[in-house]
Amino acid sequence: MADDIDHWLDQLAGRARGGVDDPLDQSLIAVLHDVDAPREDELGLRRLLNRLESEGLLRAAPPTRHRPRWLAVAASLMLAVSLGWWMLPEQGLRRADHMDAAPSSAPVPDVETDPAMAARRAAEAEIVEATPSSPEPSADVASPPPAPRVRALSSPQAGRSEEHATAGAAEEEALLAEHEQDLRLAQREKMRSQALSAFAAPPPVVVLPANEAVDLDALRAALDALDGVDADWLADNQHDALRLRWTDADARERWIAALPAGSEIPRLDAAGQAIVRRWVAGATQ
Amino acid sequence: MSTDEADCLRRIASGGAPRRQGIADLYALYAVRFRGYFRRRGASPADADELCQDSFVRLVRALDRGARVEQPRAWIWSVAQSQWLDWRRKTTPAAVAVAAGDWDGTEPGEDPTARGVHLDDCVRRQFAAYSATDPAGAQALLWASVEQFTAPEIGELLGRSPGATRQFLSEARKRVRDYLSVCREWLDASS
Repeated sequence: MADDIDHWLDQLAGRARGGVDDPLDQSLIAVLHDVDAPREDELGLRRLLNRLESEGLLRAAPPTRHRPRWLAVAASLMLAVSLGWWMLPEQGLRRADHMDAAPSSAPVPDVETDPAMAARRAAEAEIVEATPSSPEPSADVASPPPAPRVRALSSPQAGRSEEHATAGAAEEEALLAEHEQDLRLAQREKMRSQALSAFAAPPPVVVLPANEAVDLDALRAALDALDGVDADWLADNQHDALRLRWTDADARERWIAALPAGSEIPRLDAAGQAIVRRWVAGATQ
Repeated sequence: MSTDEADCLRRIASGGAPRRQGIADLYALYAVRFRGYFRRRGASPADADELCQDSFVRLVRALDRGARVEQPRAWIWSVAQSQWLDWRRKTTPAAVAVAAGDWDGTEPGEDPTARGVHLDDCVRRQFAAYSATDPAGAQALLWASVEQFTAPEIGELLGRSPGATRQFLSEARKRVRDYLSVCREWLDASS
């Protein structure tokens, strides 16, 4: 039966080699083709085109066929996230914080003797205190550090086109790297200072003789008058001890000679500082 | 024919100016077939016309979504069939109960010889009468002859296996020959 039906289908389709046996089938084929023959339907076509036009389908953009759309979506997301991440105003500071945790072989400049470094630290402090909506930094910064440029990225100008942002990415990255380097050095210097103050060995203490009533104010004036010696109160509100600084061994000998006899003098460097205080029962150095 | 349809689909898929011409060419080829298909499935003339329009819109949308078309004619008919199934789900059975007997204004069982028609006219009217009673079989014959679909291809559109499709087509052939037997009298007379 299958072959018979397939042969009949071949006849209807015009595929049979021997043609069509039955004249009625031949007439049926002609009728079938005539039934579904294309006909002019201008009104129907116009209606269809109008509908497609109204639905925005008539001149739709050619689709990107056979191409994984997720790839384009992922690339766009990565670009947007990357640009957005760089445009965060506090991003440079965050990166600097992370980089501080890593060891660095870069030399640490002396902040107190490097004016440029001091200016950068001042600018850094200004950025840290500033909010994203804060105005532009004042122009009285000693030297124009790259930090204000970083903040400028968060200004409305940052909404420039993606093309421009991509083109300037390298330049911005270089600026950010430079700024991060400055911030990292400043941070390291700050940490070093904190470490020195917190963990450095305390200066030696010179204890005045217990059986003598020493006028510390007079002693401070006498020591401070010596060449190469500075004598100050240990603290503004603490006038029971002195801080001595001297520049060399000769100065050290001079201020030792000026102390009352019987003072306890520890081992002292040729140059340095020491604390001078009265003897207190039970006190240790 | 297949090349024409493939070209039409390619132009539609490309968008822009070629799309309009591709739609026009495909509409000229398939609008009548779609309407006949929907009428044979029981849709009224107005519904068949609307279903035809919806089918073309559906086709354009599918191409815009990047549909892959390997067999253009089968794919085009699958779009029309999907449109019909969607419409059928939304429509009450009573609305679909319209018979296809009014196809070309022919009443089923009418004696064609009484009107003095030619053989082809007789066959046309008898086929219309057959379509009213067996629209699925009539559509299968159209697919076989006009679209040149094989039994398995027709089976895909009918949702039948190849074996069941051949059984279905065998019964359809028997019925349509019963209807066309009336025209044989005119054939004998003319010979």
